[in-house]
Amino acid sequence: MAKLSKIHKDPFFWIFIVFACYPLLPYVGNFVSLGTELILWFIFTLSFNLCLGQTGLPSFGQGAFYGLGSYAAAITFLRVFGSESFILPLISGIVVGALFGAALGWMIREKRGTYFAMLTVVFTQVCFGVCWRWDAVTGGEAGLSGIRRASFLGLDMSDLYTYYYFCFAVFMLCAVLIRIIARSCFGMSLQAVRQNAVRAQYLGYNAGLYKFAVFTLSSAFAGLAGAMYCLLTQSAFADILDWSKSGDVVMATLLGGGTVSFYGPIVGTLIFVLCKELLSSLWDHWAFAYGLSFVVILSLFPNGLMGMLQKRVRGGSLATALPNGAQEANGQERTAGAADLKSPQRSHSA
Amino acid sequence: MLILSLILNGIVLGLVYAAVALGFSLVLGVSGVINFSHGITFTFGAYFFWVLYKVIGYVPAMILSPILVACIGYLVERLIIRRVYGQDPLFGLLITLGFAIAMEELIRMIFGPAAHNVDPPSFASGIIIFGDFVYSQYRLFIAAVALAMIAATWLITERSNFGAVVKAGMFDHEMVGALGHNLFRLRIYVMVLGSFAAGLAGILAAPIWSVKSGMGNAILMPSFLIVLMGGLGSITGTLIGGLLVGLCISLGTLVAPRYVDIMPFLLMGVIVYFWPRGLMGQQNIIE
Amino acid sequence: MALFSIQNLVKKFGAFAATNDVSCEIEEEGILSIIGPNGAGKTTFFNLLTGLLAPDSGTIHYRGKNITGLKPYQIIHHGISRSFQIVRLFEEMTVLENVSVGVQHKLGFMNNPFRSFKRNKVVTDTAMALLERVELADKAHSPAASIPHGDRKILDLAVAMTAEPGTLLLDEPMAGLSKAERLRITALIRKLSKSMKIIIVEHDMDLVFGISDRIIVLHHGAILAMGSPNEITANKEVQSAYLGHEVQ
Repeated sequence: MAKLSKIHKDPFFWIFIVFACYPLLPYVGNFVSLGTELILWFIFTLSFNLCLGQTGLPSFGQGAFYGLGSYAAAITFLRVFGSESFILPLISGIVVGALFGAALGWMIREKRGTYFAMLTVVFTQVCFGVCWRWDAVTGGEAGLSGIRRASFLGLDMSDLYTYYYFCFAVFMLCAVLIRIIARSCFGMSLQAVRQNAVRAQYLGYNAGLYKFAVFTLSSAFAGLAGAMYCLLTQSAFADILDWSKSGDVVMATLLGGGTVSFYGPIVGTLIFVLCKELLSSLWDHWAFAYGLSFVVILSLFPNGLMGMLQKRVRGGSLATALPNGAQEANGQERTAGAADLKSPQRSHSA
Repeated sequence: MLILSLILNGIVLGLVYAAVALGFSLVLGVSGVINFSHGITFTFGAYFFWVLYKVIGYVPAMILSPILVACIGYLVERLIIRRVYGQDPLFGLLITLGFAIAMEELIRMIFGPAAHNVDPPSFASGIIIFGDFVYSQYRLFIAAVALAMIAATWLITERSNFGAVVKAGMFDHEMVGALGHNLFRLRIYVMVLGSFAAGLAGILAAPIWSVKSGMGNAILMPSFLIVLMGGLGSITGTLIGGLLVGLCISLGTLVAPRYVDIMPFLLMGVIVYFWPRGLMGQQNIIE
Repeated sequence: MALFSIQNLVKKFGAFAATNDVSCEIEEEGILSIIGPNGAGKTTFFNLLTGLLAPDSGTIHYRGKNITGLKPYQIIHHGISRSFQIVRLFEEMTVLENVSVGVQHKLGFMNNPFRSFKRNKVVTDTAMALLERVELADKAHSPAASIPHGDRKILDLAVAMTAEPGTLLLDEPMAGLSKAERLRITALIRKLSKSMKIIIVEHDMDLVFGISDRIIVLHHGAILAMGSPNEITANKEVQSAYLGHEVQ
């Protein structure tokens, strides 16, 4: 029973308590759909952090998989099965997310750093363009609507509270899965690829293959989050494939300190998404503050909030914790000159 | 005749894209930063011009506005981008994206969401007639200025010491280390140069696209595509890439007008499949 | 059969031939050192042998198998492992984790990739045994970034050994070490050489002549001489090209 007495030290426990009681909370509890959205955001950022925090993949295309998952769910409901299926749209969200993730991941598995990031930006933009224009399938600018949440295992999902708890359960399941992945042998291999790709290759790790695998895995989770979002809003629009979604997920992850802590993304999302919601309801020109917040967060807290906490606790420098491994050459050995160049710059974020 | 004018339109558009992409490509090559605020400098150019040209006249405004934009470029480099050198590429991307979002909103706050029209200058308005073919004089003027910009950049990067240093910084890791203090200045120079060019392109585009806060977004993606297609740091590659994107968009309207935005991406996909570093690309520091 | 059999190996950077038509046979046993003046192409040669660079032409056979142009992660399966001049470690992991990452790949974990890393007792025990062998066990739980430079060099070596290689290539194992640390590494290399082939690139002539069974001298990307330490010391060409300048 020693384990139980320490349970309050596990951040999961508190996340569980807070969100299990969410609808009972004063004030915010009234906004159940906001709570549901938050939970879906958690799944989304945790999935993204498999790429960024775990493997050091600078992906700016996570929003695309979220959006594709959402469209997949909508199309499955409206066009394919037409009738009362709750679970099939979700499954198709996962499958479509994974398929597209696998396709993109395979194409860019050998790319690194900036080039990788650029290709993911382009991918997002293509997905947005196609969803925005392809009227016959995606409904174009009007999007898709008319999706209903059918009953599932005798539960009436059209009720927001029921759906909230369904999402909550899925979130806990996903979080546990992602935590298992992160702490597994496989997860450690990803860490190795991030922290020193060349060394990892000399231990026998085929870095490209690991990047491909984690990209696929992470897209599947993102696709699921997107599909559940589609059922929440009962519609699918191209807007969520825009840069802003991909940007938000990276910002939320970095704000929380996803590169240094498993729970960072959850903390970051909670703050980032709530502030964004609040700000946009209070001020017409909220985008001004929203944009500037990127600049402030990235220049002041490059390691995120969890990074700052850990730094205070350990007193060590965590600046190296940033996924610079992504920039690590895996074909050409970096020269000492380049290493000298990097270090003074890195140090001023330390 | 329709085809001919579409091709001409495509070339003009391509030249503007290429002129803008040069700055994006230089900053990416020298500093390794994906500069999402490049689009907003284009918008700034157009807005400065729109404010100034009624007051001080067309030509003075056309000279002054890009200088103001270049100053903004300088400030952005010193105050914002500098903070993310050597970090994960997402840092540079996001910090410039955030700045761009904020500035776009600032423009909307000050000038409102409506689009504003700018008249072409008197010396370049009207049409040119070759036999039975009619074409806008202003578009030819744009093409000429854009070509001049590209030529000037070519002269600077291919025929000067500065250019040699730029190339060294882009393609050689050891040189980057050896550059030391020069690198510090170099990063400022390319940012200022790039902002100037983008600002000027914004002015050129103002009369045909009208001045609105979101106009920079339309120019950013072509820059991405041009760099990926043409290859990083190659002026020729950028020019070819620009023309390809311009023609693709212009002629695409004949085939499937609704999918025009997507076509250049498909073209890019094909090109990058066969030439992973772009048509004129060489191994460089961002890989 | 020779361990490495290298034929007409060429690697050019632009017009500069860093490895210029090198052919040689490397025998199965003992410690081989590669020396040469700065810019002689030692590191390039090393990188070609270990797959970090692909040659422009020529072939490399290892134990009769053609390994020319294989990627690092393929070469390791043939039993070739290496250390680095500038140590390459997993900086955010502990010493033990650094070694474990290597061990788990060697033991194979893909039949059950999602089992907990920490509770993987076989891996941890094997890693710990290896650390004891290199006398780093007392620092097993320190972060790799926090231990002294000499220990980091040894850790780098230990990580390279996790692949249980038949051949271990060491890139300047002595660079930046104190006298005491040099002795420690020398002893370790001697110990290792009993169970595997060791190939060293090194500037430290005391080490090279004290420890090597054979020496290759590279000059301008080509092999100037190859032989036992005594033969090399006696070689006039080597003296004029190399030893005369750097080692007085």
